[in-house]
Amino acid sequence: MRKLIDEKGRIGGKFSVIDLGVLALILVILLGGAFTFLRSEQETSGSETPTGRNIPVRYMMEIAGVRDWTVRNIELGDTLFLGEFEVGTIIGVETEPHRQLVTGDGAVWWGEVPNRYLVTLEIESTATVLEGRILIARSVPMSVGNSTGAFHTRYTAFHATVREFIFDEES
Amino acid sequence: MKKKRLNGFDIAVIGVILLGAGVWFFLANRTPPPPEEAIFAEGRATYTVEVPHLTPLQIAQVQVGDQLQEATGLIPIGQVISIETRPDEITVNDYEAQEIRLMPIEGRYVMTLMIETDVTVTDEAILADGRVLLRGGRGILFTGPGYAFSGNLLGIERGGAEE
Repeated sequence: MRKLIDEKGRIGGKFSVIDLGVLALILVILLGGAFTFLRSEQETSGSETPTGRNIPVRYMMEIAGVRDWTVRNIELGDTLFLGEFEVGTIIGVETEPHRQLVTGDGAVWWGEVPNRYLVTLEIESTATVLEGRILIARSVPMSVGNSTGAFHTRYTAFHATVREFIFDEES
Repeated sequence: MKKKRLNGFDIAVIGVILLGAGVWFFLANRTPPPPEEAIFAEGRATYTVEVPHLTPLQIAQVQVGDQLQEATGLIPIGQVISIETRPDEITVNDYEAQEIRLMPIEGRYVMTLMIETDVTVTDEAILADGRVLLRGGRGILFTGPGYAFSGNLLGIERGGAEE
């Protein structure tokens, strides 16, 4: 019966074991280089992209004191942006009359403002939690209570305050 | 001098190195896919602008059919297709009843214009003439034949070019 490796160390009398080892080593080095290159390219494609785990999140936002036409411009399914970043999809809209604190004439009271509304939006997105910081869509830092700026959809713009984060998965 | 001949191993090593160099060149010179924002559509849209605190004389300047321009860049923003007016109002505090009320402002009116224009639509925005952002909640300074007003852009009718 013919040996798999002959007395000169060749497999089937043709390929040297050492030659194949050297070829395998070169292939491993090339594959390792390509893998490192692709991974570093992914990480630097957005310079602010963190390497933390991206998990699903829902967050609630309040828009206070807007008029009826702003309410009409917001619809379920609209994509929400903050600056140039996409920060989620609107999956819930609730509207109630806007109340304002009034002081004067020796009294303090809450008054309902005619034709002004408090809108609560529920937004679906992804978040990365890193050392207590929450980055929405891997890019935009957000926290409860902060009013981060002018949000917009394709149809309307407004200032809003984040009220709550709901993580669908434990982070 | 002994003549050097390439054996199978040499050819295999050269082949693997050339293959690696080719893969590297391909990866390094890939063209990134265009951003989603670059996808856009052209079409027509109707939007609403509200101008508060006007007198009847000012409102009379504006006619259906007027061609409007954005005032700072003189960019076309469309044609007036309807005009509505209503009395202007202001909120006042009624301390006795502890209520906030709307009260009319005598001699002042709110003019609401519907305007139709060509638009460019992206994922994020709707632009008149490809340059003027049409988005509810924004202020807009516009001019027509013999007049210039600043107003609030109330909204854009859905179901137009963007759908």
